[in-house]
Amino acid sequence: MSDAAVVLCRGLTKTYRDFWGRATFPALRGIDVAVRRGESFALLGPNGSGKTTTLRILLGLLRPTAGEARLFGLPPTEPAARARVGFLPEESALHGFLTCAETLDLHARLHGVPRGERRARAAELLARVRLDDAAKKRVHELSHGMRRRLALAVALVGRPELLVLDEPTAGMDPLVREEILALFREHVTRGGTLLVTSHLLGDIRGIASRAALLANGVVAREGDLGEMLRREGLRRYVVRGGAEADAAVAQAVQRVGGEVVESGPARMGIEELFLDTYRTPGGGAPS
Amino acid sequence: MTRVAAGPARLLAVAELRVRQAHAARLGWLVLLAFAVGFGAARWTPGTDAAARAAAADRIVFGACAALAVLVAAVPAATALPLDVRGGAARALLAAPVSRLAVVAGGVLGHGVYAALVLVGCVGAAVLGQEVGGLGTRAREAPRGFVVVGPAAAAAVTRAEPELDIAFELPAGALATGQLDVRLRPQAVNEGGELERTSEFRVTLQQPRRPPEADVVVPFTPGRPVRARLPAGGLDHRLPTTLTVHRPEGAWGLRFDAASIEVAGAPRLHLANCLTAAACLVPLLFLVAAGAGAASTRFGTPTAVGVVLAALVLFTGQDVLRDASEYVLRRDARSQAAHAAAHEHGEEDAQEDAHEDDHDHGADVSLLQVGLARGALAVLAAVPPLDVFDRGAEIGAGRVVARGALGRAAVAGAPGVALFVLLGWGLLARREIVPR
Ligand SMILES: Nc1ncnc2c1ncn2[C@@H]1O[C@H](COP(=O)(O)OP(=O)(O)OP(=O)(O)O)[C@@H](O)[C@H]1O
Ligand SMILES: [Mg+2]
Repeated sequence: MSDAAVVLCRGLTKTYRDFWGRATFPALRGIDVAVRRGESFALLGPNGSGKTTTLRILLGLLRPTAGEARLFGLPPTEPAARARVGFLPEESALHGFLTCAETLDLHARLHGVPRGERRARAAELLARVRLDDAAKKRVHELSHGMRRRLALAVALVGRPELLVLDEPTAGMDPLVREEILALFREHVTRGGTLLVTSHLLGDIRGIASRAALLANGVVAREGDLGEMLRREGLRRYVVRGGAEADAAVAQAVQRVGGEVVESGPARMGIEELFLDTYRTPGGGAPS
Repeated sequence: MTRVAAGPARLLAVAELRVRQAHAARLGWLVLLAFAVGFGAARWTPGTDAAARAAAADRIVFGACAALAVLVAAVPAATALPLDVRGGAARALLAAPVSRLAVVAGGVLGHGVYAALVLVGCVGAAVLGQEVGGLGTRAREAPRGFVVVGPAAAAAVTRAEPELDIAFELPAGALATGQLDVRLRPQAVNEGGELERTSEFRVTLQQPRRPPEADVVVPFTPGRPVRARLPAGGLDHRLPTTLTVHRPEGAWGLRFDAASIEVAGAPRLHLANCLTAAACLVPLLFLVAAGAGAASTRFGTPTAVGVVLAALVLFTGQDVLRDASEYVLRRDARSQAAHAAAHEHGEEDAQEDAHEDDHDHGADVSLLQVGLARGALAVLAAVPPLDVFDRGAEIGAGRVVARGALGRAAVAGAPGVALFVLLGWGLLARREIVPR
């Protein structure tokens, strides 16, 4: 069984319907995706391409119009299938009247975590998503990013074998984002499986190994993420030195029959700048 | 690693969530409203004498508490799931490894328990409010339970047989006040002659080898229950007792139908009696929560609340509906009979016959009305009557609510609760969770 797909979508089709059952929108038009155990898989695509719809079907929240979805070989409507899954929805709306600790306790109970372990697990998860100071805050008092992190803790509370994450890093500051991505990497290192969506490749470059690109409800491309991102026949250098170094590199390249396709000053990403600012001592790091 | 569904634990988790959700809506404040109702009823209920005022106030207060509790069962149960769907919390909840049956049943349990807690709180607060408002334990006679002592079959007290003896065992606590509290429902029998109606008879108590107690003259109106307090200071609780009814003077005799004479048992605390009556209401609260829960699995908040309130109005008005349906059917039967008679009469007149075929059905009730009436009666046959759950009549009459009433209420409520849970499960299982 270890080779069997943890997530399997075969010819998955979904047409949204209104209250009276009239078709409104064909969101998925035959999707085939398989995620194997231990893999981290990204579902990419622009807004409205059907990523969230696919995940909702996989969690049993929607039923496919045609085709089938399987979790661990079971239909997602089986609670036993969902028992091995942790889900982070796109918008993390949790019950506003519960505190963070109560929310985790509720979901631990729903996941069948024994009473004796619940408190310790909630404390551990709150620490890992850096909400330990907010344990007694009610959900409606949390900021957007804090809510996301709480929802992530909820997804992790059942020690899932499969993590299903819909836009996991949306709304998080880069500091927290790095920590959250580290959590996902750790999940995969421990042998867990990951299915994550995003419309930003860069966001999940560090965690996903394989990806499917959705467009208008069909899989446009699928494969190894590293392979897909490689620009065939091109290499990248970052050079220290003045204008002379620039010229020398161009000459050397021309001498062997190559061509400099792109050059310019190397910049750090805005996120690196952010990390740099808040991580250096005295840089105003938030407590 | 598979964690197989531990059904009940998850159901309880959902139930607790629903209790917290209802509590977060601050419905607990209704307890203060109940206190105010109790206080106001004790102060301002009109009535001819203290006993009548107390009875009316008790009925008002218990009815108000019951109505509040029914609303507390209905509204949160109708809104919890639609609010979760709209707010998005339903996605995390239903993606968790919990079956939708557990979500529905847990909701019914949570909302039912919460409404029951509010009911108990309201009853307690309302009785306290009455106490503070001046209608306390001392201002009201303690409610008592009545035990039927006879007669076994209808018995007459006539000129020929001027005495009726009823032998019985004293119920526990019957002599708590030094008097025996007796309730009789006599009918009058005219034995001919004068037309004046005598409205008094006499009752005595006696035990073997003891002098009879003083007899008591009881004024009465035929067909109406009367309550008599008989001196019982010399009675021994362990001995068999005989109650004797003496024929009144004049032209009238008495008739006692079977089981029309009752003797009071131990007095109870008014609050305890109200709480027993409240317990009888709990199955109704669960029924309401289950019905509202079923509606909430299909509809959004406003529709679900509307459906539930409409159903409640129909449920409380079921007697009106039943009477109206029976009236329609009676009228239909009468006009059909009249029609048949007219038909026989006009047999020879072929022209009129053809004319009458146009209105083959009777005159003033349409087929649609008859169909609706039949349908309504068929549905109502499956609906438990309101007074199985509502013991407000006993509270008003100062009677102890019998323990058996609790069992009857539970039995009357259970099938409906089960039916609504299954209906809700069926609807929620097919439901797609998309924010509207
Ligand atoms: N409840 C709904 N009723 C009708 N159409 C819907 C509904 N939900 C989504 N859609 C449509 O289905 C398509 C796919 O939506 P989906 O939410 O799966 O996109 P997505 O890939 O997750 O986009 P994003 O990156 O913006 O989150 C969209 O065109 C959307 O308009
Ligand atoms: Mg999406």
